[in-house]
Amino acid sequence: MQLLRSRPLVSRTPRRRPLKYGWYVPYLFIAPFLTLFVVFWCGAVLGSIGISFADWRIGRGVSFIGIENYAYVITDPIFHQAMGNTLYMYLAYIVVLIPLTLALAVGLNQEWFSGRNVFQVLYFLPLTMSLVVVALIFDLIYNRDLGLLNGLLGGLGLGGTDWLGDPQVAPRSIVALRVWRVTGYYTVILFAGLQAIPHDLYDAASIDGAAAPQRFWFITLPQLKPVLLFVTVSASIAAWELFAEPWILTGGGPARATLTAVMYIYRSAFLQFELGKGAAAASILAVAIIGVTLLQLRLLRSDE
Amino acid sequence: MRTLALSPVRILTWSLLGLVGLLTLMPAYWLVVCSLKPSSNIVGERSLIPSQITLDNWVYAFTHTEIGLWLVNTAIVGLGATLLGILITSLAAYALAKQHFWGRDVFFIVMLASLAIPDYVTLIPSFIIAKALSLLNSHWSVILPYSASVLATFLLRQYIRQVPDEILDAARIDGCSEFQIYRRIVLPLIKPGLGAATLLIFLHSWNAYLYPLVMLRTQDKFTIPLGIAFIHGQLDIHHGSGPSPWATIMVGGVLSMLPLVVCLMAMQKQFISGLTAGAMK
Repeated sequence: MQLLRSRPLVSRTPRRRPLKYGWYVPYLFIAPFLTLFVVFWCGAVLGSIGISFADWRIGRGVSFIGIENYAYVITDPIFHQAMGNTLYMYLAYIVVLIPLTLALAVGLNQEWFSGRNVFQVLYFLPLTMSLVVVALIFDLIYNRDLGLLNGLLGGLGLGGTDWLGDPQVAPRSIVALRVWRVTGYYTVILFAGLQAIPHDLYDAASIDGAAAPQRFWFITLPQLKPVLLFVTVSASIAAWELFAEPWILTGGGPARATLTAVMYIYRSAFLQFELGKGAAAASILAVAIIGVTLLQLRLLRSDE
Repeated sequence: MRTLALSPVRILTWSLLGLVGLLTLMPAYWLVVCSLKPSSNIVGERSLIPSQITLDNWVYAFTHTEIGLWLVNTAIVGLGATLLGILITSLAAYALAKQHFWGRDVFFIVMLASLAIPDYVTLIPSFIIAKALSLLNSHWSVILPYSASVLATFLLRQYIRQVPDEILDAARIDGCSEFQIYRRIVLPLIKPGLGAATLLIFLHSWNAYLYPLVMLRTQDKFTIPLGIAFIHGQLDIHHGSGPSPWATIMVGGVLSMLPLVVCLMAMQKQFISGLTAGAMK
């Protein structure tokens, strides 16, 4: 019957298309993903908040204790140290990483530069290595008496150092490992951002007599801002989540110099079996990360 | 045109990029070389060219350690999460990109927000959930969280949005069901996107450490990253008998890296676009 209803075959007026599928069909499509997402993300996040208000020890009962976990964690000098170390390593990481990757991306982007494909693949190589493998191979490289690095430095007539055993040096060694792993990755992202900048902008600036440094400052940087912002924000989040490398290499030592915030959470929850304290520390850290992220978005966006 | 082929700027650029390339390559090179040295030379012999090459470590690792089992476990986790993940994320991405339903925008925003929430926040409750579902020490406890990849869903949604609505409408008029449209029209059109999303999920689950560390409790369930980290943790209490545990660690490292290096070489475009997903929007 519906087929007989008179309707122009081609309607030019925009009109809400009648649904060709039942209202429930889209839900069938998202249901499998949604279930896992709700259980392991939404549910887990809410759960984490809930657990942080409970006295929950593995193997014992659960009881609600209000903000006691937060009070404990906030006044725990070890947590202060963990947050301080994480902050220090985050700052060192960003300060080294951003200028380095920017310089490399600009280099890759030079017109006369050939072999970009080879370099892109080469630069992506560290990402194929699990954090664990990276940490273990660097353990051999950093070893004080027998490591490759001190061997090479010795060959050059330079004195080596105890890369992981000296509390002053160890955090920097961890940062160096991190920078090593992601430099290529962020370089390729920034390079793609540079490629997207319209060429006419540079041509126009050249005609107006802008030298290379001016073109970089007044065209490249502003045009690259969204990508730079992405790189900064995602590198920062990763830096605040530092765990596997120091956990495997130093276990947080020497003298807790490489104890990180996530390591504190892991130790509280899974070594001391205090899930509540771990969850409280996780909430505090999440707030810190979101705060830092918002701050960065503000700083990098406001000076349009 | 303006400068000579070898201006100082060019030399500087080439040396900087080349130096970084070399430094990038060095640890991977060292890993492979160490896996091929006699085990007594792994710690200690520091010349870049090894004095002796042997396959002993590889033979020993596969005959005397659990590395073969760990490789199988890693494959179960990596392939399981990837297969399940690509199925459920592409289904969800199709609904998000091309279907209208109540709650879509809210769901989308919640997904976006979840990207800002770090893994470790969900770690403790996920552990409790896995325990409640009796999934602890089962590979499902790692497969399930890693298969629901928000990044892969976003990536696929971007690709599916580029499929013209006209094609889908034409198919609907011809009487195709939504599932047939998804299966017969959308999936073949977004093959590059599927490749990128596959690599993204595979990389994360194959190399995973934090979730397996918490979820997998016995050595027969370990994945390679977990297993070699475990051996490394036991180094201090290793006494004498048999070759150095470093031999197994190095073999495990190469094994864990190899499939991804092959993927990178064979599908560099998808690899790079999968891993840089989110950067270009």
